[in-house]
Amino acid sequence: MIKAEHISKTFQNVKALDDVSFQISKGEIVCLIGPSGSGKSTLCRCINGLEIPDSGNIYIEGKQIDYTDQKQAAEARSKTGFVFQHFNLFPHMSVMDNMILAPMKTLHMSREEAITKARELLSRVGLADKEEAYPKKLSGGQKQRVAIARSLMMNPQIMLFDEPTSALDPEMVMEVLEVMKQLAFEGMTMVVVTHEMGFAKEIASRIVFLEEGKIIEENTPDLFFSQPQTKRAQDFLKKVLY
Amino acid sequence: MDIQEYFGKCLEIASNPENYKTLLIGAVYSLIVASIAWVMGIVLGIIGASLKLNKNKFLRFLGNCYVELIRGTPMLLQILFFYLIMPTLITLITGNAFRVNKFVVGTIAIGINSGAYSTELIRSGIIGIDAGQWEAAMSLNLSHWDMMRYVILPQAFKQVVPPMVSEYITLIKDSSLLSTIGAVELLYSAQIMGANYYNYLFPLMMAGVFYLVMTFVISSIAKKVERRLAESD
Ligand SMILES: Nc1ncnc2c1ncn2[C@@H]1O[C@H](COP(=O)(O)OP(=O)(O)OP(=O)(O)O)[C@@H](O)[C@H]1O
Ligand SMILES: [Mg+2]
Repeated sequence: MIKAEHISKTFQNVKALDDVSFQISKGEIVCLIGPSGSGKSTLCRCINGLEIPDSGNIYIEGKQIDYTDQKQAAEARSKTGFVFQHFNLFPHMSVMDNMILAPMKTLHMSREEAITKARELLSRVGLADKEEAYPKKLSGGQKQRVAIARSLMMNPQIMLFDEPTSALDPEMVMEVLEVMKQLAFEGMTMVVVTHEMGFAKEIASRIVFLEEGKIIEENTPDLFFSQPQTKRAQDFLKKVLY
Repeated sequence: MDIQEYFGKCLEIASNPENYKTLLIGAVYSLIVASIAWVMGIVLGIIGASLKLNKNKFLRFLGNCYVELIRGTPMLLQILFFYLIMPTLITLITGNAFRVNKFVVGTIAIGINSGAYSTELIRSGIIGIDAGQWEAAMSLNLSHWDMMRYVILPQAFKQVVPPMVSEYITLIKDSSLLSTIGAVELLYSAQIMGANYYNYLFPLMMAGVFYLVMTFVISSIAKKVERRLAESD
């Protein structure tokens, strides 16, 4: 469904991605894990065109995407949803307005239609009573659930999550993971950058381990966690699992 | 003339209601000049900021030229340019005598000047918006225009209100520069009055009071508005 071939990206003199190839097919849930600075975010962001790779190609449903071309970028983004570590809700809009802005402007949904859909999604993430609230009145976990619902408003076929729970207080992590699990069970295709190893083990169909801009190891969660093949993955797991 | 006479003259001026009326009319002119120039400056500021933030190198260059040219030269010189040089040039080019209204050219000059400062205010308001807001709007596939219109500008606007109010207050004071080209705004009314009575103490001090009242009222209103805006955050 999405294929990235030989992606490289350098910031100033940091090689964030070094000839990375990656693909994901429909219904798959891929968790990207790896130490800080290994290029997980950059990979996610390249898939959505938030970063433009220096070299390499990205294909969505077999079609090569040039993100510097506005039309192609828009078409590609209409298929992907992105959830950010810091939620990035629009602070000057109520939850409802956050939800309906893009569908109305971009998908030309009518207001009523958008509101109906927004209510449905808000209740799915357990926030039916918050549509009038402004983001600053919500807890971190609530904000992230709104952000997920806001992405879903655009009917994405694949969801990209960049550390969706890393900015949350520990007691709020579960509620967001629950929403993501629910999405996974409904068959959503997902790329998830996460440090929540338990979550990755439970829902991933595949683990991709990155370090220093390279994919070091790629395996099913069972095998990856029980018998990591590379020294680097072993060291990493030792650190994060004590 | 001794000091008693000097203050006696003051009382004479102060006891004539006509004099207050004259100054009040001057103050109204000052306020009108400042208000029109301010609005003009905001419009130019939006244009200037979109030039300076443009992808196109040439447009960015134009924006920079505007800002640097205006901010690097005295406002008085700019006013004199529009009053003394521009009409002559137009007359020479078209062959028809081109006469200007002092208030009109003065207001245009101040407006163009204010536009350069507003450009910088608006530009920094826009680039001050968290990158995550742009990215979220982009990932939701909003068009560039919708992104600016619904996400970026409303947030930038809130940040820009306080410095814009200071700009307005600055303009009320700067409008006094039009006295040098003989536009009868508040300061020049006071000067004329002083010249008539051979005593400047009361007219100039009273003009100062009028400026103070105007700037004070505006900043009080602005504080209320800002508080309101902060609440809706
Ligand atoms: N916009 C940027 N400008 C400069 N350097 C950047 C930028 N984005 C990423 N980098 C650098 O690229 C490397 C990879 O960053 P990336 O954010 O992809 O890592 P990550 O795996 O997501 O790390 P983390 O777990 O800390 O989020 C890092 O060294 C980072 O400092
Ligand atoms: Mg990251």
